[in-house]
Order: sequence, then structure tokens, then C-alpha cells
Amino acid sequence: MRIDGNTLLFIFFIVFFVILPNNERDQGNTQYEIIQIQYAKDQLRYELDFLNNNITSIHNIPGNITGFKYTQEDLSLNHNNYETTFVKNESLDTPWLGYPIEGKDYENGWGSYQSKGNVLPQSVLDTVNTQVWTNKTKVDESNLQESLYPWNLTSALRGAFGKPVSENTDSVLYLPRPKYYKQQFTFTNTDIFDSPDNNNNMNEKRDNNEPDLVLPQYGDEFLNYSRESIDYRKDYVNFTDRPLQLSISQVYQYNHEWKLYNLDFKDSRDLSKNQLPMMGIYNVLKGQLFTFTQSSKFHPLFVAPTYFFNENEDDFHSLKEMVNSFINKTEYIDTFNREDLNSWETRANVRCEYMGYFQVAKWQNFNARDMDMFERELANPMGRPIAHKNLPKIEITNGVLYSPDCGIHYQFNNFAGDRQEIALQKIRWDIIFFVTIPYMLQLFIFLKQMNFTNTPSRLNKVSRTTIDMLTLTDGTMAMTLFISAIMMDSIFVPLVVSSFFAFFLTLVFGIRYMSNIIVSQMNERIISWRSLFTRSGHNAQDGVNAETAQTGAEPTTTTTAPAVAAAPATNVIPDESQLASDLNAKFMFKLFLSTFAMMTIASWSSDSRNVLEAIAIVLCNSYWLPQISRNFLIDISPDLIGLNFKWFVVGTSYVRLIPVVYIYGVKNNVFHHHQSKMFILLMFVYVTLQIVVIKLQHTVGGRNILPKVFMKHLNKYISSKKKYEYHRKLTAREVEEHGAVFSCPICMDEDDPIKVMVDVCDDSSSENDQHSASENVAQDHENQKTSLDKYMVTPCYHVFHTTCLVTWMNTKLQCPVCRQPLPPL
Amino acid sequence: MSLKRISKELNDLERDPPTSCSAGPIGDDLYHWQASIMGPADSPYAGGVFFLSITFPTDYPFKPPKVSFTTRIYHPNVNGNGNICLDILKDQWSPALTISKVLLSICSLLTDANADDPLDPSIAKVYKEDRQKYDATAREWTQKYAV
Repeated sequence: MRIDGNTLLFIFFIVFFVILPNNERDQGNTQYEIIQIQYAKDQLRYELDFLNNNITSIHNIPGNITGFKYTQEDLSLNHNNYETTFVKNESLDTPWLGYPIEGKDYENGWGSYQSKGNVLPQSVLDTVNTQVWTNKTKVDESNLQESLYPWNLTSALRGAFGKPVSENTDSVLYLPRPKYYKQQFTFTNTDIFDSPDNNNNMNEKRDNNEPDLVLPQYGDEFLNYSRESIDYRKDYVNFTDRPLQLSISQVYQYNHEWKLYNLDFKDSRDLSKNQLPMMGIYNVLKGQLFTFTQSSKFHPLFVAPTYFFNENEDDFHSLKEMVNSFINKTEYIDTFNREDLNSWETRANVRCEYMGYFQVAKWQNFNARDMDMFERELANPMGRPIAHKNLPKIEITNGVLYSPDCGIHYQFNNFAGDRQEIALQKIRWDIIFFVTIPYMLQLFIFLKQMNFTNTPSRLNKVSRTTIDMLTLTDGTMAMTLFISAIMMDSIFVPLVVSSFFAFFLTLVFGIRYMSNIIVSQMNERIISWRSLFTRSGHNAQDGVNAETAQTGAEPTTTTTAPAVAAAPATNVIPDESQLASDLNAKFMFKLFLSTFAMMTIASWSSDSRNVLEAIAIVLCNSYWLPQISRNFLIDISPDLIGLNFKWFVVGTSYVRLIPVVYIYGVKNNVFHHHQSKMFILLMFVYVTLQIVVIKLQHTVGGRNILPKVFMKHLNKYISSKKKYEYHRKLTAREVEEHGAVFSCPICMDEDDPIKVMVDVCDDSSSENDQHSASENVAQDHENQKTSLDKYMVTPCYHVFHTTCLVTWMNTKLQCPVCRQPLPPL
Repeated sequence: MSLKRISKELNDLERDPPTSCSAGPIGDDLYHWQASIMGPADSPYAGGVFFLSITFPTDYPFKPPKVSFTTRIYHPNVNGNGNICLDILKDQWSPALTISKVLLSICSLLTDANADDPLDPSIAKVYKEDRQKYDATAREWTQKYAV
């Protein structure tokens, strides 16, 4: 069975849609999971109650909340006092604390955060208090006329962390994790349900609101907290010396003072690993942002009122109300589901937990009225008098990020970026300028080129591979743009328009043009680089040629008239629609493969991706190489070129560099790609070089671009069989068979008969006879020119006036008399 | 060139007229001809004389001439406007073809209609399903319009 493009496409779809979805995991909620979730919810409710009942003032640091059960104080105490609960391990320098520490009161708060009971080491506390959050006093709202902190932080900021200030292993705290988070396979159903004791135990624990904690002990649980596991978690999210993006989106607004945000630190070049989603509580009046990660071993939401370090009881209580209001309004605990549970558990295993203190910059000269107008303009653009260009950015001037369980302490400043709405506006224009307009230009250029090659002979000169490469690139772009458009609905329109143009260029024109080219090249003599270097004498042995030489009925030796052997034997031109559909399917297949490859590569780590990216861009811009090769092989003549140089060659080349310039040259581009002026320059040189070679071939001919001496040398090796020679002498034998004087079947002009020239030296019969014969003919038509240029002989031995046949060949490469395909000029 | 070739064809037609066809220019304009075809004897069109109008393009013979019936005819490959569906008048045109060859082709089309590629599907349907009825109608039309 012949596997054609349609079959391939079908197989591909089957594989894609049938096999892939099997990877999805079973969604079923087992009894075990339901109990797990119930436990987790009970835990969260307990902690909320603890916050409301047991933590009553700013000087009361929380005790019994997940992630905050140990404090720095516990680490600094004399280890001997806690000998029973400290756990020793050879691989660690410092012993771990056991839980619960004997004699410690977990049911109440532990006094001021300054003195004891804090998970942050003193150095971090000092930094926050002296460098980041310097404004500690209660804000008098009536004083806020001149400059305000931004009301809404929704934005994407850029910045970098640099190296951690310290990685103090001494202050690393073990964060114990409630047992019920454990995955099912670690203790089976039989453990829970079959034994009545177990069942009772669990119920008891639930009733007592006493979460069961996993003790650090020898065995696998302890190994989880070995030095290696800390290192692994440190590496899992590693922001050291990387350009970062911080996206902030609003989750909940309590009042004009307190807001809740989702924050997401991303290393945009290495998304797969370096991502740190956090939650943030923003004090609009002070511009203070307290951020934290959440997982099954860290619940800072319930300690936020104290860890916000409010000096003021009012702020403490309003924040407490805010946390309560958020949890009630969004049903934070009630909607806690299996997905949350799993992601919290995964995060607890692989990542360090972080707490952060950020200071947001004031907007100079923005009073409440301006701010209000600004917000309303962004939400509902109506052209209010806010000059978009001079708008201040959201900026985090100072920040501290500390991980209690890994000891990493980052300090940073100057994360800045536009408000989301403004950033989107910029991206929209970027896309229009660097994607949509180039594609419109390309469409226009491609139409010019199609118009230029309106005859089969010109079309024949175009390299199919060149068009294939161009079209495949466009097709992949179209797919990518379309997928991006679906994902980013805020810039849907420019993306979809670009995608539409690219699709149009590919599917409507590109494939149609390719099938035209294939048809026009169907019956040409097959010249390849391999056959090019076969000496002319070996024609008969040359496999490709032996096949095509059958109809030649060449009576003389192949050495003398190899050109005659050119008539293609099996030259049935396939149905064009059949050809196009086959081409279409094959192309679609290639397109899906390349899009798939691109999507896969996009998720790779940045280092290997950068290299591949550069290679791909160089490849995508090498599309003139097949054309140069074809020009050389068919030895293109300057009179009949296939490419519209000014528009297609120059235009396409440079228009296609525009996206490259954008990605590598424009700062703050959508892809956060690193800048490289050198790469742009190299690409320009590379493309220009290709253009120059093509220009040379267009001026002096396909093969003459090489120095004459070299060509002379090369000609010894190059077979003399070029393309079919229409202007040729007939051999005496042929004349015998077909006659020597013809009337042109096209113009049927009897006053202008064609007298062919006879190849004299070729004749094996008596030279004298031939000589006299040709003399006779010459005498008969003395006043007629019999130059070779005047007539053309087709491979099927039909003779035409040159002008007549050339005009016809501009329409169709088919012999007017016998409908045999004609080799192109 | 086209003029020369057209007059050459005219000369040939006058010198050696094909049986059952005739053609010639209308007035002085060599680009507009009128032709007539006698209905082939073995067809339902027998006895009728069908007139056609021929228009030569200026780039004749590289483009096919436009040929259409001026006499109404009941035929699957001819529609009500007289347009003819014939491959050599479209993409299968060759400059080696002449008007007399085209007229002969139309003659043979009258004998053997191509119902698989019809211009008038309703006639083609009758042609395929009820040949008797088709013959009768064609004969009727011939009597009505072409005699």
C-alpha cells in the first residue's frame, strides 16, 4: 500500500487524539481523599479559630499554626534542655528539633515577635525594619494629598535578585507537616479502615482539633529533611542572578487600605522550574506588601496580622478582619479541594517556603483624584485626560525574601513595570508592527512574485524547496500565533489577524504556488548534484537518464547528440487537483510536526533552547540556498529568471528579518528574550550574502558566478547534458524520417517555411552526399535565413518557429501537435 | 500574426470546405465569424442546420476562439445561451488546432454527447436515464428551431 500524505495525516491525528489523552490521571475521589480533604479543612478552620481567639495583639506571636511551630528562639536555646526531643543525624551539622518540644505551650501566643517566637532570624528582621519598611507609624489619611501609593498593583514587573545575602544553615527551621497530607500509597486503606483502632484514633483526633504531625525521626521521613533535600529544594527554585518577572494580579479587595494579591515570580527563560507563586497582602496607605508561599507545611495566611509587623493595634485588627473577611467571602476553606491538596503537598516536597516584605514606591504628584481617574480610565478607556506616556510605573523599591526552611535570604530593589493594561497596549502595538504588518507585506510580495512567474517557463526556474521552506515557516508561525491568541485573550485581535495573514499566505497561496511549480517541473530533465558530476560519456549508463531516454529513438551515438535523449518517457502530468491535495496533506503533516516540535522546545530549559533557537532561525533564513543551487544546476540564463528580484528576493529577505530584530533587538519584548546585537548583524550579513549571490546569478548566469578558470576546470567533470536544446540541427537520419522543410503548425504561414539545419559531421553516410544535399537545400532557399535561432525542434520532432513556440510555451509546456510535455526553456 | 493565421484558415476553408460545416466572417471583421453545422445524420439533430458565432481573440492561435451556438439546441453540453462545454475550447486548446477541426469536434459532440461533464445537468439526466425521451425532445427542438 502506498502511504500518501492523507494517510500520514490520518495516522498522526489518531496518535495525537487517541493516545495522548490516556496520560491524564484518574479524576475519581476515593474515600481516602475525601477524608484527607476533610482533615485539611478542619486544620484550616482550627488555625483560623486560633488566630481569632488566641492571637489578640501585635505582641502575641502565634504558636500552633502550621509552619510557625518552631521559632528562632528554639534554635538558640541550650540544646541540653531539650535533649530528648532533638534528633541527631550524622549528615547534619546542627541537630533537628523534635516536635512537640516538651514543656512548650503551643496553645497560646508567644509574646512579641521582637523578643522571641519568630521564624525570621534577627538579621532579616533588622533588614525589614530598617531598610524596607521604614514607615511604621499610623498613616494619617488626611495628609495624603500630594503623593500616593498606587491603588492597584496589577502588573508585570521586571527585576533581578542577584546573589542571596546569606544562606545561614544555623537558622534553618524544620517545618513539620500534618500527617494526613501523606499520599495514599504510603499507608494503605487497610491501615485506616480495617482496624477499628485506627479509625477511632482518627476520629478522636478530629474531634480534639489536634492535628497529627509527622515527627522527624529516623527513617524516610527524616531523610526527606537531610542536607541533600534542602539543597534540592534550593535548586528547584533558584533565582540567583536571573532576570525575573513578577506578575501581580488582584484577588480580593477588603477596603481602601487592605488588598490581597496573587504574586508570581517567574524566570521567564526557564519557566518549567523557576516559578514561585505567592500570595500578597498590600497596605495601600503605606505601600507595604507582605508576601508568602503556601503549602501543606506553611500556612502564613493565618499569622499575617502579626507578621505584617504592625506597630499599631488598629492596623493589626483591621488586617485580622481582612483575613477573616477574605476567608469567608471567597469560601477559602470550604472550597479547598483535592487539587489544592495535591498542589500544596507537591510544593511542600520540592520547594523552599518563602516570606517576603516589599516596599512599593509612591507615585509622585498623584493625588486621590488623579488616581481615581487613572483607575477608571484603565478599567474603561474613554480618553480621560491622563497622558499615557508619562504615567508612573509600579515599582518595588526595596524587598526582602526569606525562606525559613532553607535559610535563603534574598534582598533586592527596583522591580518595575507598567500597569497591566498599559503593558498590554504596548504589546498590542508590538505585535501589529513586528508581526501583522510584516505578514501583510509578505502577502503583497508573494502576490508580486506569483504575478512575475505567470508563465510555466519562469515558474520552472523557481526552486520548490525554497517555497516549501518559506511556506512551512509561515505555517508554523500561523499555528503558533493562533494558539497564543487562544491563550491570551487580551491581545486576541492582533494575534488572530496576524495568524490569518500567515494562514492565507501558507494555505491559499503557498501550497497553490508549490503545486504550480511542481507541475512546471514535472517533465524537466532531472539534474541533480549527483548526476551533474557524471561525465557526459556515461549518459547511457546513468540510471536516471537511461529511463528518460527511451522515447528518444536516438539513432546515433549518445556522445554526439546527448540532448536528443532528453525526451522524458513517462511524462504523464498528474491531475493538478490530485497533486494539490496530496501536497496539502503532506504539508499539513510537516506543519503539525514542526509546530509540535516548537511547542516542545519552548518548554525546555533556556540554555539548550537558546542554541536551538539560533539554529532554527538560521535554518529558517537559509531559504535562498536551494534556489542558488537550482540556479546553478539548471544554469539559469539572465534572460529568463524565475524570481522577482526587487520584490521577492530583497523584500522577503528583509521583511522576514523584522521578527528576528524584534526578538533579539528590542528591549522588553514579549518573549523576554535576551538581546544580541551581534546575532542580528550576523543574520543581516548572512541574508545579504545570499541575496548578492542570487543577484550575481541573475546578471551573469547560474554557473558563471564561479571564476572562469575554475569553471573550465570544473567543466571537465561536469557532464555536458544541460537542459534540452531546442535550437538544434537534425541528423541526416532524422531528416530522412521527418523531412527537412516544415511548415510551422502554429502560424501555418506557408510563405515562411522552416528549413532545418542538418548536422553534417554527425552523419555516418558519405560526406559528399550530405554536403551536396545541404548545398542544394541552401540553393533552394538562398534568401532565407537558416540560422539555428529561427526554429525550434521539440523532443517529439515537431518543428516550430522560435517566436511561435516560445509564445505558446508561455502558456503551456505541451507540444501543440501531439500534446507531449515539453521541457522548459 | 493572428490576422494572418485567421485569413490563412479562411483560405483553407474556402479551398477545401469540410463536409457538413461551413464558416466565414461576418462582414469585414475577420475576428467575428459565423459558422453553420448540419445535424449529423445518425443523431436526433439530423436535418437541422445549426448556426454558431465564432469570436477570435487577438492573441489567436495562442488562446482558443470563443464558439457558441446561436441556434437553440437540446444538448447536455450546450446551455440555453448556446455556450459549449468542450475541452479543446478551454484548457485543452492547442495552437495547432484550426476552426475546421473545432467545428468537426462540435459535430462529433452532437453525435456523442458527454453526459458525464454536462453544462445542462437536467438534459444530461434525461440523456442518461431516458434516451428515448431525450431523442424525441432533441428532434422536436431541431424541428422547431433549426429547420
